Amino acid sequence: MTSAAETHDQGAFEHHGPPPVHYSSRVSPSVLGMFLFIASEIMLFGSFFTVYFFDRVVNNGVNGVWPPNGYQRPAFVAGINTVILVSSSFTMHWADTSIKKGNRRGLCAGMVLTFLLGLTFLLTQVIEYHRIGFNTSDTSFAATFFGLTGLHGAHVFVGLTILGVMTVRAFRGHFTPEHHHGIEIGGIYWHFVDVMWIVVYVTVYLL
Amino acid sequence: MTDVAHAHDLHAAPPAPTGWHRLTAAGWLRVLWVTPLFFGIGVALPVLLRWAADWHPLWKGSVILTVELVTTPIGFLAGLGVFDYWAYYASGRPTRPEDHSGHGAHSWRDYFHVNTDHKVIGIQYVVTTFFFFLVSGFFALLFRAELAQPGDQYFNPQTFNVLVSDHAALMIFLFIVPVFAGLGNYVIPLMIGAGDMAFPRLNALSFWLLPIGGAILITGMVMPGGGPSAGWTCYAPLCSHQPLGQVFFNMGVQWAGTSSIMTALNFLVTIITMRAPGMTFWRMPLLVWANFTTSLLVVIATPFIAGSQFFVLFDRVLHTNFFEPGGGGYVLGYQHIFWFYSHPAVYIMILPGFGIISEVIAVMSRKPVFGYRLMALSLMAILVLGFSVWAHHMFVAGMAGWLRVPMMVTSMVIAVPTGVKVFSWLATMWNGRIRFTTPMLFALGFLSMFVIGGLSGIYLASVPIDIHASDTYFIVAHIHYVLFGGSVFTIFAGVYYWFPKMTGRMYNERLGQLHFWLTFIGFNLTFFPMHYIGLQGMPRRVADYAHRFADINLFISIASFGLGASTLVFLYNVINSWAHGPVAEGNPWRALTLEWQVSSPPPIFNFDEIPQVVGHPYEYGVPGAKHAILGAPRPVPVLTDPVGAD
Repeated sequence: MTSAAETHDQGAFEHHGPPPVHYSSRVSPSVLGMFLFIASEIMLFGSFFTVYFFDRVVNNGVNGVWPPNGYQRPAFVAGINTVILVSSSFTMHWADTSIKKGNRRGLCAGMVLTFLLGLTFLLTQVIEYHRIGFNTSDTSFAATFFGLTGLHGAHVFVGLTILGVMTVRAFRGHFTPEHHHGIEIGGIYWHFVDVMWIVVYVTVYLL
Repeated sequence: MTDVAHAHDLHAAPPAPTGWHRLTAAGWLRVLWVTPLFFGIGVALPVLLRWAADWHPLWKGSVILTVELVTTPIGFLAGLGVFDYWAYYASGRPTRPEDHSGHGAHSWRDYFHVNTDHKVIGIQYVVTTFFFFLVSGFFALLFRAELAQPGDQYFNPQTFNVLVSDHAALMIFLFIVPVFAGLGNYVIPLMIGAGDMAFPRLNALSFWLLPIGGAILITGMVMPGGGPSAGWTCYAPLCSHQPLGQVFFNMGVQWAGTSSIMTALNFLVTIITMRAPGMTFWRMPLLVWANFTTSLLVVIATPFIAGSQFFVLFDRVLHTNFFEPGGGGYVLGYQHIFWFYSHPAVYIMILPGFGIISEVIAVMSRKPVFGYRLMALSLMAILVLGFSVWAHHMFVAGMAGWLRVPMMVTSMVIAVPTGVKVFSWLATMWNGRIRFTTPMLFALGFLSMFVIGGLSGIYLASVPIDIHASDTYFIVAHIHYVLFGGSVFTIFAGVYYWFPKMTGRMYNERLGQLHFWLTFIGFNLTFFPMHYIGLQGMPRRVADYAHRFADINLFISIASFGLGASTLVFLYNVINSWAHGPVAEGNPWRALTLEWQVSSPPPIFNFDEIPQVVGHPYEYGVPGAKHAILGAPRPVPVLTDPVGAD
């Protein structure tokens, strides 16, 4: 063994962890991962929109009518709910920009507002389910209605869980202008949930 | 190696818990009480919700079962400790940063615990998937025994259909798709010069979802009322009116699908963000390219099978009418959604195999891969075209007539990029100094068998022939030529090729070659006659058949037992070599790619220093060509004696 190699080994003794990671992309892995996850989520929603398309367009609705006679869609209440959810995207953005500027109170206020708006949306949705007057087993219209809104509701629930965790951590002061990945990643997911709702709302309630 | 062992001592795992702490520390003891806890939650949740909403009856078996199949696995995972880091993070407690130092496997027991080292996960994956390979292969032998003679001998038609359905489902969802993820898990980070995958904890989660999916699928077979017997395709509305086992089938597929999406996401992020300096996209080994394309396919297509399984599940459990014609549902919608995933799925099951074959053929022929860029681009072409051909599975289903010819044309066009690859492999071997080792034999076996399967695929792509051959044994022959002669041969090639790297020991070459010839001959004797009986009109998925097919079916059954027995040679070879085989050197094949430039098995952090990539990965026989320089950029301390002591 040459002395150069020995020195090499000596040097190696001093580093006790893995070699520093080399990043070959400017995108951070977690942001890229979230975007890919969202791509896959869009396809999941896509499969629900596809079955909606088959049941409504290809199959020409239930006896040629959509929604079938006697079915009311609460477009107005859901419209108000849409406004609530969309405004939560703005409060989320406010929280995100606040922490980037180092404004922790803005971050906390933004997170709490976002969480409450999202919770209001979800509870309104639950009450709507309760009072809507039809059940999952009533025709393919009901199936696609509960399918699309239910899938979206599940995403709101997941989003709220993430937001709740991030709010707790925001109050504990775990985020700094340099390190706020949790807020950023959670925010991207929340914006996705909001944008997806607009598509679901237009498809299910208005068209 | 010394430095690695040293570093490992300093970062050794925390001391083993004692007393009551053993019950709360992540592990199998905690599984024992957390799983029943979540089982209870799974019962309480639907009952309480139904009580709150005033729905009756409160106790609804099928709903509770469906919720159970979500909560119980989560309990198992929580007990095992998959979620520990995230739970710490979520509750705002300090987390232990994952620097990949306190892990790696020291004994076989470590493989039964949550581990975030991609090398451990890779072996966990491969061994688990081979377990399911053996189980579902055994199912195949069972129903081949039934088919040896016309009439009902051992199984009634229902049980026969359950065996057929689960043979296919386990082979596809629990063997071929995930085994490539396992091989990729082991090899890809090494190949691109990274220390681990981008998300090691997500990687561990993806692995542990897999045995759950398999356990659910197998449990469903023995459920009261009968197992899932609607085929692996699970067509609606047949599938929505099946006995209880069908719920297990739908949920098992969901768990395996989730696992596969998360692994694919992990691969994509790893390949995009963690390549070593100098490793441009056009310097990546073709296996990395293949996994990149496959992962894109998985991320985009797999949600569609999740959707399709949700719909049939809801049709059964919640009595929705997604596909029930009586309630305004569109029956064929299921097949469209299902095949929109399941056709790309055949590329998910073969593209990583293409990657393995490219590695093996280049190394064993000592020549650069012919048409490297075209090889990579044809993968991309298959990815794009793969989304435009799904309805060729539905030519006889009664779908819209205008869809037939476009789908026929696109299906045939896929033969072009595939042909590019086949001819490039042939050209790579041309004038090469070929070493006929076991991986190379399997690669050559793959080439010849896959071409036969591809040709019968072109037959089936044309509408008139498909109408004639649909649902006959010709289809069975075709899919086994592409999935067994294609995918499984590439898997064997990959397992033999990386065996020395993964285990640190060499397999027995003579037994390996014996395994190849037994498999190759047994495979052809089993599946080639199926072309003939298929064209003669023998339908698939039936337990009984016309007497005129009796002799040839007996022949096929005997051949299939020989094929099954050939696996025993493989098992003996692998197990024996792993335990007692000769110690393998770092680079037994004299390959250039990065995984071979480290010891076998690789050190715990893969590389002491991130390597610098300087050239192409396949420059075999090119004088002076170099793929990468290892450990070069380290700043060398000033020497007191620059001449050297010895």
